[in-house]
Amino acid sequence: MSVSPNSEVRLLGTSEVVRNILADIDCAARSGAKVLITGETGVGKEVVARLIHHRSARAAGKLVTVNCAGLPDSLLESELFGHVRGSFTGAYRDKPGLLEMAPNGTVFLDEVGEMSARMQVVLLRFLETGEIQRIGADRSHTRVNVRLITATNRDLPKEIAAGNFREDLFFRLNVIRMTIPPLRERIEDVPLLFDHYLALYCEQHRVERPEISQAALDVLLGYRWPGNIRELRNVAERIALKSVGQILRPADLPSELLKPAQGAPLVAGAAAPTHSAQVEEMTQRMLRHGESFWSVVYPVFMARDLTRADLRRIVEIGLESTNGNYRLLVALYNMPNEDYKRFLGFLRKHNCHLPFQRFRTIPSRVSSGNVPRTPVAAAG
Amino acid sequence: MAQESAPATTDGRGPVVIVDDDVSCLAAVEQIVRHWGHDTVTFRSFEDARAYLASATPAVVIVDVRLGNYNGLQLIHFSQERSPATQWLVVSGFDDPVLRKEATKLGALFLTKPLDLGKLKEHLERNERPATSA
Repeated sequence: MSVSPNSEVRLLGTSEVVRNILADIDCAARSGAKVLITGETGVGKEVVARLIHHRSARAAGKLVTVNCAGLPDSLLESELFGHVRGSFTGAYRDKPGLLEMAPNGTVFLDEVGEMSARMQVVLLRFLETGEIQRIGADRSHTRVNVRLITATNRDLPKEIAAGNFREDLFFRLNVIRMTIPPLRERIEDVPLLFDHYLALYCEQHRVERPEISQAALDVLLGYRWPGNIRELRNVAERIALKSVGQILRPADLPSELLKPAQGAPLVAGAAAPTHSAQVEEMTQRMLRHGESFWSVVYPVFMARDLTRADLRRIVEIGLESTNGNYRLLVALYNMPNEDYKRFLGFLRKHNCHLPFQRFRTIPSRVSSGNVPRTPVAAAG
Repeated sequence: MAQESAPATTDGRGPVVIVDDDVSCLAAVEQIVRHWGHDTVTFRSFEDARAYLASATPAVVIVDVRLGNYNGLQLIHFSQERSPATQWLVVSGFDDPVLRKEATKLGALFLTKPLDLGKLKEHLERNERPATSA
């Protein structure tokens, strides 16, 4: 629970998703209507709420944030509406509610989906009258002029169907709806975001900022980011605290990023035994005779004369020779660098994209063995 | 996104835009409005209506409050600036005083279902007058 200053907030990214959100933020800011922000945990719902406030006519007023989760009813009610002295044990003096503390400002209710049925009724009534009554107060109603922005990571229509959320409250809160997509749906923003947070935390902790290796970047781009931007920020901070040295390698990243994603296309080893003569011949043509994957393997696979297991074996051979580096593999199989994305897309489409991590473990140490891993001493 | 506005009918009136995710309601209103001699453009989802309104400036929009995950009022908020002359009719299956107040504040007419057809007709006729006399 906080009363924030008009601090600088930004929504980072250049993807179309971000551009659309920014356009919607401007629309929502100008309108002054209640906004419901939905999206997974860590996508930046609070950032969006702040931007709406700062770009609105209420920017001169305060923005008060209240997290509705994890607070018992009585406490949440007292936080929002305030109480008078003696209204309950521990209420030693009059206390104004947060709704009173942002006149002509904005109140941001986070995790509104966690509100109890009783609090939902209280909020519903407030929306209707615009009046607040401190707990324990007789009849002294105060009218407040605040704009309400709410957020939740719950699927409210589903909660309504399950009887956990009031439909009438939902419709009153959901005048303007903004849905913030998860990070994996704007994965193209990951390099920019990671770079930003890494620079930020390295400066904060006064360590030298490592250069991100291509392989590490591939890991970042291949990860599902279930915790979204908050998780990415945490990873960046952990990297900064670890002081990895001059170059950030996949091995420096937290282990959960290196585990194959759930539902990954292939179980390691499943393709291993089928080592047919056809596979042998094709890899020889590519490795020894400089023929391209697109002319040797692709047409045969598309004509269904090559099984998925065979294709996986070909990929596996490539990864074994390149320490699990798909970019090198593209070169190894005589494809132009620009085909990297197309090649990975092709493998994914046919469930033949192997997790590269298990090919990386041993030899990468050899190449990085000489890089000193001593932390850079903090200046000052 | 296309920049051209909605196709105008021969007498200079734009079509009446109807947005409702309930197909039978949409069809019923469409039929009645057509019967009164107006052209119609219909949308079954918020997203489609929003995309249309990004480039069109219709004279009248009839919009249901409940549009899947969205509130019909959002269409007014997001298009009013671009299309200030558009008249909005907000239709709701339940009479929520808060939503009624918000719709009225936006200059929209708030009607509850079942629709009062007399009121609807009156409103549509009132709106076409300035356009035809111009």
